[in-house]
Amino acid sequence: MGTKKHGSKSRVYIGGYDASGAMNAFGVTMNQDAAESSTFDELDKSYIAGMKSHSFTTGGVYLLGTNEAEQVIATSIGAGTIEDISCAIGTTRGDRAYGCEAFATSDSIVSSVGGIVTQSDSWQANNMIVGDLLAPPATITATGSQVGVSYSLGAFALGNTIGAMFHLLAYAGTGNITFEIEHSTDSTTGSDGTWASIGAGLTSGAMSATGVVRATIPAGGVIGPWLRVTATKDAGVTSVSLLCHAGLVV
Amino acid sequence: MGTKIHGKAHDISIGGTDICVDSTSITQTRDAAEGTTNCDADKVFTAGMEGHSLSTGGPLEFGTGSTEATLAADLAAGAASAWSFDPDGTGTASATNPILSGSQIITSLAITAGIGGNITYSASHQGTGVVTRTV
Repeated sequence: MGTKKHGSKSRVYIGGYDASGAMNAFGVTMNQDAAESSTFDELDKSYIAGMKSHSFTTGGVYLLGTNEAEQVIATSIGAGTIEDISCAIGTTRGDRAYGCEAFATSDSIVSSVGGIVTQSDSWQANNMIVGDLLAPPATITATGSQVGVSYSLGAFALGNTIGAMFHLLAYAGTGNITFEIEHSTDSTTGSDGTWASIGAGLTSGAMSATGVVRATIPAGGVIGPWLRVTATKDAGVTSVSLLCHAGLVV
Repeated sequence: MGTKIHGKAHDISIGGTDICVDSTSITQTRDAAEGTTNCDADKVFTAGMEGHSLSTGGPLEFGTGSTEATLAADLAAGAASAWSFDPDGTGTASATNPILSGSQIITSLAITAGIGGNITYSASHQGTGVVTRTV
């Protein structure tokens, strides 16, 4: 038995910006083709799993301003630009989050005399990351900060791809800061295991301004079940705010 | 006269794990190919192959082993997995509680979050192969 969640605590992050101030709804749809493989010697129809495709919707109020959804969506639908977007069901470490790269496919703005102007949008998404919030978000001021430890989908099997979204929501100082997802096979607490890099490293690379990095890597072996994100920064970086989630690429 | 069963009692499992739903729908179909000619007075059909599909949905539960984790992992696996439907949830098959089972592929998992209510989901499952009815 799991835990039900009310939708009111959800959040939407677009390109390293918390766009939740304009949002009051989101929907994530993950699809998988099923190709019929029935043959003459079968009595019942049979299918095999095919390719996956994903989409999502966002909706809310029409809010104007730099980095607000209205501006981002107008650019995306006008120029076909791809945005990195995360939708989370809460703001607590371990809450579920869904992240992907996507471009807007429809934008609907409705203005009526009887209410606030609203905006609803559809997005075509690629490579959906389904995982947990490790930094929900979290403020980081020191190298080595372990800003998230969380149990995700369980141990990832060989051949799976795992991914992470690093939304740098605020940045103060000068220089670079790099985030890395580490894993532990400890299945009890996740806090006393041996932490290690994942493969060649699931990292954000050097970041020196607000923005977002989406990273994926083949698991190449059994990963997890525990994940955390750590930070390594130059001395000149005084404080950042990170929203990070990681998990399985569905 | 048979026995009615309230829907609140049923169990539905995907990949061997019970999921929490507020509704389950199982649809079994058989192709009917029209063979009508000008020699027929009425339309005629011949029976084709049997197929089935499922749909599940309701408030979505999160956490280890939860409905959300089960469906996401099944989708990520990219392969067919077992399903089972137990009408009265007792786990005991009988003439008044036929347990249906088969294999399925998740073809759609839609999660919806709104400011005014619980986060909900709906999933579509393409059945593959035979449906076994155990009594």
